[in-house]
Amino acid sequence: MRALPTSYFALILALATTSAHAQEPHAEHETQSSAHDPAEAPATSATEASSAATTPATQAVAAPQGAAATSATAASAEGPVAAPEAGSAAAELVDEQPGATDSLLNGEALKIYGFGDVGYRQMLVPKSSPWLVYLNRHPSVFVGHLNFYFDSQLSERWRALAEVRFTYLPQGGWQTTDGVVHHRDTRTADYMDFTRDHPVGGLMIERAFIEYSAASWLTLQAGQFLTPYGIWNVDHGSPVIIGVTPPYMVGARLLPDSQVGLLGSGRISLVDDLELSYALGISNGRTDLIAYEDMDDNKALTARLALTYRGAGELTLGSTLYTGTNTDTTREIYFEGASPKSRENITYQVKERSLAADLRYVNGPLHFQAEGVLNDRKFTDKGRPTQGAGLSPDRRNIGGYALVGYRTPLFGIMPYVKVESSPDPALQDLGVDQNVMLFTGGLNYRPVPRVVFKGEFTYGFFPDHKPNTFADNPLAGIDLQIAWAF
Amino acid sequence: MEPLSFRRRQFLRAIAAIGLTPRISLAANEPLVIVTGSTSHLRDLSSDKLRRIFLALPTDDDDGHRFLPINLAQGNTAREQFDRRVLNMSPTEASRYWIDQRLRGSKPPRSAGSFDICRRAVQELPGAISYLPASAVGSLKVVSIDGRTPRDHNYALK
Repeated sequence: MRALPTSYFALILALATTSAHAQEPHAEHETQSSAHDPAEAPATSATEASSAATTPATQAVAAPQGAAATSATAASAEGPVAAPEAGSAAAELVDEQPGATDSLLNGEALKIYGFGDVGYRQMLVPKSSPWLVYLNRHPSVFVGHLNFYFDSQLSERWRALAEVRFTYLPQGGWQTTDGVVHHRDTRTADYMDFTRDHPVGGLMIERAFIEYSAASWLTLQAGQFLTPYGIWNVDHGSPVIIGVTPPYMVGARLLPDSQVGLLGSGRISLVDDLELSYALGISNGRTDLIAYEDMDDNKALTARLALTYRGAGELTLGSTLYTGTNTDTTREIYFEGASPKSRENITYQVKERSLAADLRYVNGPLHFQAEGVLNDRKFTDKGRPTQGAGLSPDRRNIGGYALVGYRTPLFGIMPYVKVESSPDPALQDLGVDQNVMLFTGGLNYRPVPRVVFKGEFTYGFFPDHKPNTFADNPLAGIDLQIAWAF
Repeated sequence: MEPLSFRRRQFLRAIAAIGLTPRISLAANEPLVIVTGSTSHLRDLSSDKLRRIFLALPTDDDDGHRFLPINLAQGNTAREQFDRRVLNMSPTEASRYWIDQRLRGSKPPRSAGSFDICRRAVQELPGAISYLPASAVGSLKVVSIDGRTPRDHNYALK
């Protein structure tokens, strides 16, 4: 790394110093000598200038560094350091951040932020509806998401990002055993509370990767990344998405929501206002069953191309292709003579190919987005599972949705409607082959940039349902949500 | 620029509170200019590239260096003007946009709390680029937009 002047380090330290001063006219800012992350600003209020206000940043920051060096030298020369006293040299020492010079250029070495939401759900179906075996039988309030981002700019071009969702699950999660649906019980004796039982929750790693930005047209990620398809899968943060619940098609996972492997992506400006972006990934495949091991030798491939036009609003048209093999196996030891050997038995194996397309247009208060996915799955001879008295058939699933919203001048409230048609592979295992049609209408109100109120009504039915099946019963319910970004 | 005294700041706050000086620091019709370090080779930017840089889309200059956009703080009138003209966003829309972008996994540009910090950051950080009122440029290099300078009638940031 090339040598940089002392003032360079002082300046990037000044940029790394956070100070709240949003909403100030900039004559006031002329009196301040700190910088901050703009995404932190909206919730802050005006404050007095920092103590370094009248001191040039170079001097203001260089002084503590010099003091630290001097103090450290003195401490080592004079032997072990006793407990620091107020005003002592030890109190002037600073924590070293090895190799963090470049990260200061881009902010603090580690930033933590995220989002959360609280929801209320009430199903509006007869209490005898078979859907209430799985869905809320009684009106309920719940904490839906509590996602933390751990974002570290390791150097100018290296970055690491992890997103983790904290959840009550698996406590309370519904599961079916011998035809009876009951909830899991993870309660365990807590040795810190006289061994009384306490429920134990868990966490979900939504994504975790290290990233190298080689050029504007090439960024490489290694780790677990969100599958770059459509709009909703990447936008999944509840303050960002307009509706309360994701489209049924997204939950049906016609493409995996995340994968573990390598992803290259980039953007190329074609002409003014028109940009081509791409993503190309290779991975283990679906992470539903096991995220840290590929259960077969076939790597999954993901390829995405998208065009974005920013001339009049922002219009994005994209398409993603995914192909992969999803396998489950059992393993066992056997002996050849006295020599132990191992083998695996394929219990489930399906080859998938999915093609997704998406369109988003945002222009001022108008927001329109639509996605469609086609998924072909073909079981191998060894891996075809049973369904009922027979074998699961190969299948083509097609789903899609469209959402339109308009942010009105009335307190910025956005009414929206969403129409969707989606298959559900989980329901297909129960013999429900038809797509579900869902109609949703709701309101999205964002009183401040970091807080969003939502309310929506959903009605769903199966157009081609057979009598006396699950699909013979329509769905209806209301969802309310408060989502926040922190 | 000399820092404002505490009394002067108090006075400005007081008169701003009663609505006498809603925007005291950006003179009427004073254009914003795009600035880079005085040693930069950059002379001109297209308005599209400028927008991409300040949307925090990874963008390299002709020498292969990554642009490092530096915003002025939110609430600053120059920042508001820049967001409206270049990003086509109001202050509220800009706040929403950057919050949403962060949850999508993208990072917003860093911002400077004062013209002074901004000037020195642009001068000293490789690849740094920002915007300032024409009267606050100091020794920085002014970059034209689509071949037009602030003196031109159809300059983008007027």
